[in-house]
Amino acid sequence: MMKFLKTKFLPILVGLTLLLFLTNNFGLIDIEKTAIIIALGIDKVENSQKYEVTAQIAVPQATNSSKNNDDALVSGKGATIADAIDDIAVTTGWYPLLAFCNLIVLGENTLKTNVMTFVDEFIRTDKIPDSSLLVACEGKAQDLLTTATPLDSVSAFALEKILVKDIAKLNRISFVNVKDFAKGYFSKSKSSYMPYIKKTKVETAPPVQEGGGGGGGSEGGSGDGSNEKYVFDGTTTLMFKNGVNVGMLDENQTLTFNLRKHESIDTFFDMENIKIGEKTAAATIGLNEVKKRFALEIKDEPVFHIELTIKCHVEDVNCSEEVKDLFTTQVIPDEALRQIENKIEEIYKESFKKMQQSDCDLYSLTDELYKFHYKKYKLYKDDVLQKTSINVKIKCELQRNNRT
Amino acid sequence: MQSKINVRQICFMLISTSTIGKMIVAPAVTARYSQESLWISALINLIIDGLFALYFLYMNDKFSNRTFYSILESSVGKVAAKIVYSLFAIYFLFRAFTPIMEQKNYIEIALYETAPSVLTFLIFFLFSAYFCYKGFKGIARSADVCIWIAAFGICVLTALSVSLTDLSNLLPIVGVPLKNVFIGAKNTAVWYFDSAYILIFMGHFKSEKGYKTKIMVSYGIMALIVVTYFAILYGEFAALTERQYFAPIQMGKSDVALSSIGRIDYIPGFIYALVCTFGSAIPLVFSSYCLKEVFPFKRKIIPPLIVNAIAAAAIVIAHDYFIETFRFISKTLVWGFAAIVYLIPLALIFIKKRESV
Repeated sequence: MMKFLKTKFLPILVGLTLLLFLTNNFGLIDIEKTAIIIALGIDKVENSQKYEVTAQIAVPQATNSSKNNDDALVSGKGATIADAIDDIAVTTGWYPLLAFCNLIVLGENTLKTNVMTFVDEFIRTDKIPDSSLLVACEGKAQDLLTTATPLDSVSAFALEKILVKDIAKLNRISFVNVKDFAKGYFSKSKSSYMPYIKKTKVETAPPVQEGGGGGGGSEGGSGDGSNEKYVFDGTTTLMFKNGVNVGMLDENQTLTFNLRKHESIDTFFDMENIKIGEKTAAATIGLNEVKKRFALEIKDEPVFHIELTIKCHVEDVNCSEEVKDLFTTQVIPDEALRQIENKIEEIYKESFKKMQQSDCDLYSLTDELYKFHYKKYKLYKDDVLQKTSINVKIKCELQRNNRT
Repeated sequence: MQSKINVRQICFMLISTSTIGKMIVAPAVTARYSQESLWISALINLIIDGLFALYFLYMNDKFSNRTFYSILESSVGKVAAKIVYSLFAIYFLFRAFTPIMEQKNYIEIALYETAPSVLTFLIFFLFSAYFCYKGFKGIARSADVCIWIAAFGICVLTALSVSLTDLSNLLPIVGVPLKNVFIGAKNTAVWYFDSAYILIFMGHFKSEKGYKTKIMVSYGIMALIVVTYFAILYGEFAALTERQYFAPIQMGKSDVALSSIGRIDYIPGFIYALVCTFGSAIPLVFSSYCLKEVFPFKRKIIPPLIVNAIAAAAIVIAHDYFIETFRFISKTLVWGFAAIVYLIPLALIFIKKRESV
């Protein structure tokens, strides 16, 4: 009997109790008491220091298509983000589960002060993943989350698709997560960025009335009960210095800024007047990067070198052409390639000037100085961005083997 | 007399439980002091401890596979040997505090949505008491199992994190003040001292050809994995590294691959929790063993019960003061650790071997 207890019963007992501990069977919360939050919107309450946090909650898809999107939204107010989330829990009776929250939207009125005063809550707590995407939006964050969109029945999912899914390689959006935003804020450069989301109204077919009426509303829902639907544009980028919004990069500046961090494949670049053959017209040029170098060099003075070699192909030209020219391998004359080079160079210079004017070190020159020129760090650490001149070398080559 | 364990199992223990034990909180604390030079601080500790491990292996050769207790008994007498082993029993008890608290907090953060009562964690000591009861054989068998799952967990986590890592975050290497690097090494030394295991294992493993090389190569592999892991973590989190107290559940989460293949980052998280369950109980096994040598209890279960009861009581009392307790251990008590693990065995060089006892 004792042998059985020692060799079989005790190990099994130990194993089972350990299993209970390691699988959290002591700490489970009933699923019906849990709100699985998939997105958070943060706004400042007018004339107050309080925050209004709107949580978009995952609810099972209703079989009735009249289910409105805003039904899955709850909001709470508080002096801190944690307080506002707690307010949601208190007023709804749901336990807010933040482990699946992949999107945090900041309303426009939160951008006037240091956003890290409340974004740091997502670094402080382990309840929310710091891989959550961070965006700012035009108007209120709550409105953005209640927006009806033809892209998905849940606006947060539609936004996530736009931000990081397949089209990310197009380099149009400077997507960033909480971790990377905070890394920029706490870096030597103290600079960060996030995409700025604007709503664009789209015309869609009127909703089909089923069963002769009743149960109005639209598919995908609408926050205000109307049939207005929107898509989202995140191609502009907000610049942050010490957590405060100090400026904005436009579409082209965002695209060229993204070339540094992301590999550029099938990136489209618009030229207004490009001379191809004998015609001058607007054209869309496909860009594929071959080689790139972004480096700070210090000889007499600091110089930031941007060297890019890009393969270009014609994606489309706004003029009628002969059938023999309707290929993406169409020859781009050298003159046109120089035009593209000049345009990209100009964009880089403009955006760098913008960064210098707003003192926002988005190219992390202070970090480059610390990492690669440590001996000169003390000399330049306070004003390296202002003292640095930019040297841009863009080389565009014809891409002859592009798929047609 | 227990049957001896294999050299292979010591090697596996070093590469699995000892390695993963340094991957939970140690990198964040090291980054707090050393910033981008955290891997150098880790390397300093690993080199110092590695040299002592080598010395203990040579001692094993010199004293013909006798146990450390037997060597002490014949060199300085029975009473002195018992005092030294009492010190080792106390050392291993204190040594166990940090990994057990890490394990408790790691499980609670990784698996629990709400903070559970400290009493929930006491189940761990039921396992630990059984593990101590099984002695070195238990460590050996767990090493045979842990090595494979630990290797899998480390590979998955590294694969997820590599694409997010910017190794330039580790710069500059030269020119920076060394003071912070050494302070970082000193204040995180409590996670090292693995050579103490080799010292107590003396005479308990089957000596085989090339065993010193095998154990030291395993130690080298452990050092390489730890240093690489520290470098990858800092490459991924940069200035935020010191906030990543439970690194395995933070790393690789923003890898875009997860959106298509699912949250496989949970797998290494669970694996680390499992391996650490064994890893954090290992010092208690050694403490039980030392206690048994000091007081020859009639029943084998008594030392494990005493050791685990003390450890459990310490956790219940000190769990709210973990930071303060850890600070005391890492900044003050660490000198005592070094004196017990390094200086006492080093003194054996100067003690003449008494063959006749």
